Formats: sequence, structure tokens, C-alpha cells
Amino acid sequence: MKFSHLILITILTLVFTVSFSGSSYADTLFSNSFFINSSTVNIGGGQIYSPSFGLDTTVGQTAQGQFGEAGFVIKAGFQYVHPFTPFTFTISNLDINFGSLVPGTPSTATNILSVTTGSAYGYAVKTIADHALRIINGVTTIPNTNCDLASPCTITDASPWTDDARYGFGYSMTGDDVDTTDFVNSTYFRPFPMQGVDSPAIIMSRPGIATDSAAITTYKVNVSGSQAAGTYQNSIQYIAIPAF
Amino acid sequence: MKKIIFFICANLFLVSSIYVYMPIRKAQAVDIGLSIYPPLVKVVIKPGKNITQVFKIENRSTDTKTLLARIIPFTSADDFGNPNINPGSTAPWLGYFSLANSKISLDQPFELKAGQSDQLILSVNIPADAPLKDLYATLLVTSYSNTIDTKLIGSSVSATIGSNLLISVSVQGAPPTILKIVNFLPESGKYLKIGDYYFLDNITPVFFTALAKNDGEYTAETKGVFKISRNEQSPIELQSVLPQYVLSRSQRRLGTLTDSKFYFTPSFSMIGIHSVELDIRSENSNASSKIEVIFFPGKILIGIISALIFIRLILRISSRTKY
Repeated sequence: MKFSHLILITILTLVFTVSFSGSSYADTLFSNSFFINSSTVNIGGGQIYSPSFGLDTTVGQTAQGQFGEAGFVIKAGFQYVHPFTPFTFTISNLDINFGSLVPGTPSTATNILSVTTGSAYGYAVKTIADHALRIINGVTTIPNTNCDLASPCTITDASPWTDDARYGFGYSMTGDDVDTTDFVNSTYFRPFPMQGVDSPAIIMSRPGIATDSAAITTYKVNVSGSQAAGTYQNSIQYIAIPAF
Repeated sequence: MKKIIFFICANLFLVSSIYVYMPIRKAQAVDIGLSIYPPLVKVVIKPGKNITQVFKIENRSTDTKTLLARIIPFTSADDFGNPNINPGSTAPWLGYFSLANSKISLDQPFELKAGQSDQLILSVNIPADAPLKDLYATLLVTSYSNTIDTKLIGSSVSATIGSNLLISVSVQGAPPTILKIVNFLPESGKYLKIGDYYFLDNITPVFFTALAKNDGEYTAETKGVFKISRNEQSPIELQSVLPQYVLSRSQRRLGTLTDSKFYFTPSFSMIGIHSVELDIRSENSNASSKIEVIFFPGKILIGIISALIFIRLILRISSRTKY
């Protein structure tokens, strides 16, 4: 075999090896050149024990020694107030007002939900409504959407809702920490779960630290020509809970 | 005439100046922002004893909010530590909880002004005859309104924020748990398993996943290390396992601070049998699991074989064209 052949083999070997290589994880923080000792990354917090009780604090706290320094006993049973970041939840708009509804013409409105986990590790935002959109001082309701007939949606499974002849009330989600395998695009909607009937449905979640994770909720209502005239209302609750 | 023109011009200038320089008050949508600290409290307490825990609540909204604090039980919802809560759920032991505040009580509305914070002093009184077990509860703080604007055609939105309480009623400071590591595996699709050995390519990054399963009656903790070593020698890779809580009779995905997996990038020279270990050790939780992996130059071998086939093909084609 000629020398030129050997060079060619080497080059081709490299080319084929690189071609068969999969994706690399350039953003990971691990390498063979360093390691993290468990005792230095201890977000489990410290512990205090007395003959009557022991107390652990927040996952996420990094300075275990502060228990003793702050003087738990001196605070007469009050645990010291941690100087760490709180778990925060904001909603941009509390009044989802559709205005006058036109039969067969969907009306939409939006608001933004934001979460910062702070010293928590992971979170979930859930939602639940007290009842369907209901006429004031009456029992007539705008039903919860079932989405398009071809692929009905449920309180945990979003489906396309593009047919203006399908009536009801529902919501769609886009943005950070939203399950995009469920809310595939802006045409995918779900009905709200109902208090007393259903459990709250998860709309945002992350199994780690979140800093100002924001998602847009799009509310959509579409009424038929036979829908009774009046003012329809309900209450929607968003529940943001950190992971434990 | 000149005076009139001057007067009009002066007025126009004045009005335009007001519009340009004066801050214009825009109509803003009503919003809400709530924060709570701490988001998690773990307590081990003897029956007949009581403790108090301060929670700081802050109203980050632009106006005063009426809030309502309450305690509800929860269960483990998934492998990621999310609680399964239902605002309507209840439990007989909820009576152990009360607020020691002078003006704020559980299930009673209270006001918090914009930008201000308040403390909720939660008191937990465990009766002397309380059963020895874990209690899992969430302190919920909800924006409260008992009326909706009658002009609103649509939905009135409220926000609820929570903090989790993991309470172990026990006579021991570190109540015993039964923790196991299960489903400890390399990344799906990136290994070949023969017998007890997992064959992995030595130049492809890979991750390992595992679950901590708590079969005990008390909450366990997952402090520990993830280790890759060869021939029982010093570790090639050592990562800290994220300390998390595993509720009684539940399981939780293990991981590091950055992910719920253990990423590893092998080096070119890593060939042969290696041990991949997970070792959990805390006050009341001990568990370990080990798998044997064989790193081999799979992609390099495929590359060489492909190159040889390619060269042989070229040589054969070129020899044919000569004759």
C-alpha cells in the first residue's frame, strides 16, 4: 500500500468518524478535569436537632452554618428569616374581558404568567375554574370547549380548535416551561378543569431553577347564535407551587 | 393680527410641550405579583411538641391585595418533586396547624398593601397521641375576591402561591427510611447490553438516569455522589447528587444541580470495563447501585471500516478504468 493511500485512509477515517458522531453537549458543566465534591454543593440545607425536634430548611440554601450563627433558640422558636430569594409568581392581567361576543366569531384575550423559583428547585403552575362561563344571576352557561370534532380536547390534552362552528370556552399556552408536546401551536386548546369535579391541570412546570419563566395564556370564547344574551363570567385560579 | 398669531403659536407650543414633557398616565391592566419564603420546610418533631415557622409573604402588585392563607394536604405527583394538590382536599391532622399572628388567621382574608410584605407565623402543634408518620402539607396564599366587576364579560383571574411542609412525626431525630436506587441506566438508544455489561462508544457523550425509591414511612434525602471509575481506582468522574427529598412510598428522579440526569463525556483513551456507581448517604438514607460499562471505539472502528471499503472501491474502479 502506498504512502498516499495511508494518508487517504487516515483522512477518510476521521471524516467517517466525525460523520457518525452524534450531538455533543457543549453546554454541560462537567469534564474530566474537575469534580464537585458533594459537601460543597449542598442545597439540602442544614439540620438542627434538639431533644424534642429537628428542623431542616429550604432546599437551595447554601450556608448551613447560619443556623447556629442566627441563633434559632434565641428567636424563641422562630426560625431565622432566610436572606435568600423567594419563590415568586406574577400574572399580568386579572380581568380577562372579551367585550361583546359575536356569534360564530371567536374572541380572544391574553395574559402573562411569570415564575421565579428563587431558592426552590423546580415548580409547577396549575389552573382551575370555579365553573363554566355563566350568566350573572342565572344558570345559562357557555360550555367548555371540546375543540374540533376530529380531535376532541380534554382538561389535560390540548387539540386544535380552528372550526368557528365549534362553540365553547378554552385556553392555549405558549412560552417558557409549557409542554410543547401538548400545546403544539397556537391552535391547540384545552377546556379549564372545574372545581369540585376535576383536579387542577398543570400548565407550566420545570424540574429545576427558573428565573422569570414567562408563558402567555390565550383565552378563547366562541358562541352560537342561540346563546342567550347576557353577561357571562367565571373565576380562574392559577396555583404556583414549588417542588419539594 | 401679529398679536393673535403670536398668541396662537404660544398656546400651541405650550400644549405640545405639556404632551412631550409631562408624564402621561396610561391605563394599566390590573396585575398581581406574590412571593413567599421559604418555599420548603422540613421538620422532624416528636408527638406532644410544637414549633413555629415564619413565612414571609410579599405583595409585588401595583395595588393592595386581599389575601387568604390556608393549609391543604398533598401527595407526590410525579418523579420530579411536584406536589399533587387539590384546593378542596382536607385531612384530620390539618387541625395541628394555626397562625400565631395577632391579626391574620388561616382561612380568613387579610390585606397586604402594594409593595409590602408580612409574616405568617405558622404554628404546628403535634398532639401527644398523634400517630408516628409523615404529614405533607402546602401553605397556600391566594388573592381573594368575593365579587366580580359586573361589567366584565369573561374571567376574573386569581393567583395562588404555595410553600411545602414536610413534617415527620417521630421519636427519632432521623427517622428510618428504606431507600433504593432503581432504573439506573445509560441513555436509551446509546448502549448495547450483553449480559450485565453495557457497551458504550468512547467518544460519544452520554447521560445516565436513575430513580430513588423510598419504600419507608418517612421522607428520605438524596445526598450522595455519582462516580465513574476503572479497576476500583480513583474516580475518573465524580458528580454531586442533588440533595432532594423523596416522600414516603414514592420515587424521585436523581440528578445534579443542572439537570435530572448525570452527563458524562468519555475521553478518547477510555477503553475497557468501567464501574458507574451511585451512592446515597444521609442521616437516615443509605442506598447504592453499580453498573458495569465497557467503553469501546465503536465510531472509530466504523469510520476505519467505512474508509477501507471506500478506498478499496476507489482502487477497484481505478484499476478497471486502466485496463
